[in-house]
Parts: sequence; C-alpha cells; structure tokens
Amino acid sequence: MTAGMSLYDAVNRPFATAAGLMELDADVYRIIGETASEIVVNFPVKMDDGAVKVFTGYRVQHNNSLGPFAGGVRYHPSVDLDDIRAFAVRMTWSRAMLGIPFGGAMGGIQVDPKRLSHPELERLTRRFIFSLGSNIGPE
Amino acid sequence: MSRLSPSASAKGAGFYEDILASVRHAAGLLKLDEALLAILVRPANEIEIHFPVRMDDDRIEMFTGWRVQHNNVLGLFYGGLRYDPVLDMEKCRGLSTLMTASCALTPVPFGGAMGGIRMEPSRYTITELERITRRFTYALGSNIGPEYDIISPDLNTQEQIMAWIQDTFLSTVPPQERQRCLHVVVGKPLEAGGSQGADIAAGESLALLVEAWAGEKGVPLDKTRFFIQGFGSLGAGAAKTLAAMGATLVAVEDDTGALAHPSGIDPAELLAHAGKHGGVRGFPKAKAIGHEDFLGTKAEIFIPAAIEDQITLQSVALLNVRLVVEGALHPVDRKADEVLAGRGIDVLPDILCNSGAAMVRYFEWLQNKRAERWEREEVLSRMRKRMLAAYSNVLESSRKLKTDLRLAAFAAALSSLEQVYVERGIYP
Repeated sequence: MTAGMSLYDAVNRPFATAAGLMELDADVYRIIGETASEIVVNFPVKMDDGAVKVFTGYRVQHNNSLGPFAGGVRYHPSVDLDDIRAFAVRMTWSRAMLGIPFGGAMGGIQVDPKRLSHPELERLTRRFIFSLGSNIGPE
Repeated sequence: MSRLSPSASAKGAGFYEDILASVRHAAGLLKLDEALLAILVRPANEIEIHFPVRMDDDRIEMFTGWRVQHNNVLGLFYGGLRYDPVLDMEKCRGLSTLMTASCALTPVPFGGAMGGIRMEPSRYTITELERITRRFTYALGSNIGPEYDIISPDLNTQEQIMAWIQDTFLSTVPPQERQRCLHVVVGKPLEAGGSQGADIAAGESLALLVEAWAGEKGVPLDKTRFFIQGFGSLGAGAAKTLAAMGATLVAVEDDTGALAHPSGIDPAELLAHAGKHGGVRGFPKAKAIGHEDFLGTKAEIFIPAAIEDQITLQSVALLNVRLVVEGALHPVDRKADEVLAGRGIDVLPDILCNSGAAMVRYFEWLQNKRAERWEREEVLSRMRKRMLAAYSNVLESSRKLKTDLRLAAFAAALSSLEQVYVERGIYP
C-alpha cells in the first residue's frame, strides 16, 4: 500500500483510469464508484471465563448487477471498514472479468482468532451471522 | 431548522462523545455491569447505504443514507429519519443511543434507532424527494419492518415522507401480508393509519412535565413566562398547553427568525400565521428580535424544542431562566450543561422530555397492529398517566442516587436494560 493512501483508494485508482480509457457512462461510473451498502455490527460474545466481550464485524456489499453478492469473511486483528470495502470492490471486478454470475461483497471481524479457544471462535462466528440476519442469504 | 445554528450541528463526533459521557457517568453511579456498558456504548448495527436516484433532468445523483440500530433488548428498533445536509454516522449513533434510553425510561417496548439521508431537501423538487425517499426505503430492504425497526418523522421528514416510506415498504411484501405491515412507519397521516392526538400529545407531555416541576417547586404557573425554540408540532403543542395552564409565551424562534412580546403571544394565532407563511417570521403581534436577544429573554422557563447543540459554552451565559426543558434531543451540550448545574438552573432532560413522543408513536403502532382506532381522549389520557409515572420514576432515581435529573434519568433507563440482560443472558 502506498503511504498515506487507503487500500480502498488504491483499489479504486485503476478503476478510475480504466473507466476513463473506455469512456464509461458517467451515471454507471457514479453508481459502481461507491459500495451499495456497508453494515457494521457490534456484538457481544461470552468468553470461556464467563466475561462478555464486544466485537466489531463488517459486511460490505459493492454491486450485485451480475448476480448475488458473494465474498469471503476474514478474521484479522487489524481489519477495518476500509479494507473490507476494498476487497468487496475487487470481488466485483474479478467476477465480472471471469464471467462468474456473482457480485462483489466482503465481510470480516476485527479479531485475532489465534487468541480465542475453539468454542469461543464458534460462538463468535454464530453470533456474527445472527447479527447479520437477513443481510445474507443463499440467493 | 438549519439556520438556527448550522455550524454547531456539524460536529458529530463531539456530540456522540457527550452522550456517551452521560451514559458512562450514570453507569458508574449504578455500578452497572461492565459487559452491559460495553454493549451499550456501541450501537448493535450500523448500516450505510450509497444509492443512485434519477433527477428530473435525467441526471443520476448518488446519495448516502444511514440507519443505526442501537439496541433492541427492550423491544423493536424505533427512531427518526432525517434529511439533513450535515448528517453523519456519529450523529446517528448519538441520537440512537438517546432513543434507547428514552424508550427504556418511558417505558415503551421499543429500542433506539436513528437514520437519515445527507442532503439539503430544499434543493430538490417534490418528485425528486419522492424518488429519493422510495429508493432509500428499497435499499434498506429487510433492515426495517413493522416488528423489527420502525421509522418516525424527524428533521425535514414530515407525514408525506412517512407515507412514501410505508407505501414503498408495503410494495416489497406479498399483497396478502400488506395489512399486517402498516406500522413499519409511525407518525403517518391519519388516513394512512396515523393516531388521533399525535398532533398535540408530545407538546402536551412537555407541558405536563413543566406543571409537575412547578408544583414541586411551588412556582405559580399563572405568573410564569416561557420562551420556545422550534415551533413545529412539539413547540406549538407545548406552548398551547402551557398557555391554557396560565403561563405566558414571551418569545419564539424557528428557522425563519425570532420574535418577542413581553405581555404575551397567543400560541394559536402564531400557529395559524406559521402555517400560512412557513414560519413565525412576520407575525404582526410581536416584535422581531435577534438570536442572542432571544436566548437572553427574561423568563422563568426556556424550552429548546428544535435541534441539538443549540446551547453551548458560548451561548449558555445568555440564559436568564430557572428551568430548561429539553424538548429536542441534546439541545444543551455537555459543557453548557455543567454551567447550568453550577448556576442552579434545573434541567428536565431530553430522554425524559421525549417520552411523550415515544408513547404516542407506540400507541399508533399498537393501534395498527390490533386494527383499532382509538379516540383522541383515550390516546391523551393514556399518555398523561404514563408521563407522570415516568417523571416520578426519574425523581425517585435522583433521590436514591443523589444526582441531577439527567443522570437520574439515564440511570433509571440503564437499570431496566440491565435487568433484561440479566434475565435473558447472551446467546450464542
């Protein structure tokens, strides 16, 4: 990553250049130049020692004009909304390029999974999906 | 109301911090469970949406909207939706937190939420506003719903906007289920399922609190002067009821200007004027005054019922009153609040003063759910009974914890939330 530039800006730069080269329609540029929705959930999880910790999770949906939103979920201590946004956008481009009928999305939780026990990790995952509710689904 | 103090309402971050400081302080007094505090100092869900809308000239414009859902352990998410050029996520976080506290205190079985679109509504035509509203509702999808998250009017979003949201949401559910979903929006026009009494209930609830305060302090209302910022249904309703109780309205300010008359302004006449001219400005039976003169009005009671952050460290020195009634959410910032406390000026806090509004929204929701239509007097008498109960609850909390009414109100709200968490636990 270039110093002073967010991952999202870095991902968007070639998009802007390519859009210029191909003279992309200005309205389409404005729409796919932004994510469709960004959801942040703060959810409590009971740790093995009985304490409750609050975690932050993200789901960013960039574009679904080519098919349902699809994208990974990462657990990493330094993950933030900007990173997730950048990955969601890259998902849209790679699917469109490969002709896969999916749109671009990405999710994640700010957590170091190595510091959680297996049951804690399970509760964390289940609670995250519970919080996202109907924002995700097979179609 | 953006002309009242546009710069002040742009600092969302300080605003949210102010509110969290009160929550933390009250939690400390209560010795609230730490895990619960950790849950409450962050909203449960924050949704940011970027959506395109076609303008009348065929151009596409992108908008940003939010819905922040703070907590729903006491009931479904409920909160305003505003169209505001300086709206941001922090502002929604702060307001949704206040809504949770207000609902817990009232009590109504709702939790707090807040949302809106960043835009200056006066720049758009009515057809554009309709498309913006509908497109945003569509984008929110199943993040709102009559048994999940219900929307109420706020800054620049009156009944018409609510009716469009309702209609758009209903078109996303199967025809057989539409009648069961009318209450996805509250504050609707009467014909679209709104409640009788909604025009006056919130304003009257403020007047009831003032009456209860005056009774307790031995202040005769018929010798009391008051002035109001904001002359929408809340401000005008409070003014009408207080005038009927014998108090005198001596000054009013809204986004069109301020005016005063030392021997009194008739709220009904002023309301008729404002309805016709779009604001209080130009009312012939009072003198136009400046913003600072307005805040310095000599009176016993000041009712800020417009928007947040109106009384700051700079403007608080102008106030010359015995009581501040926070009709708006967070109209007094934290530093100004400390000054008021130091000067011995009483404050009826926002989360208590907004109970009346929450109640009448709850009654509307309940009527829709049960397919009932209550009479005006039934709505108002239920509101009055509950309002006085909420006030005594706050007074008792204040005596028990030996603290001011704001912290006492937060503490009363937090302890009901705590009780539910203890009973229900955290799953999974």
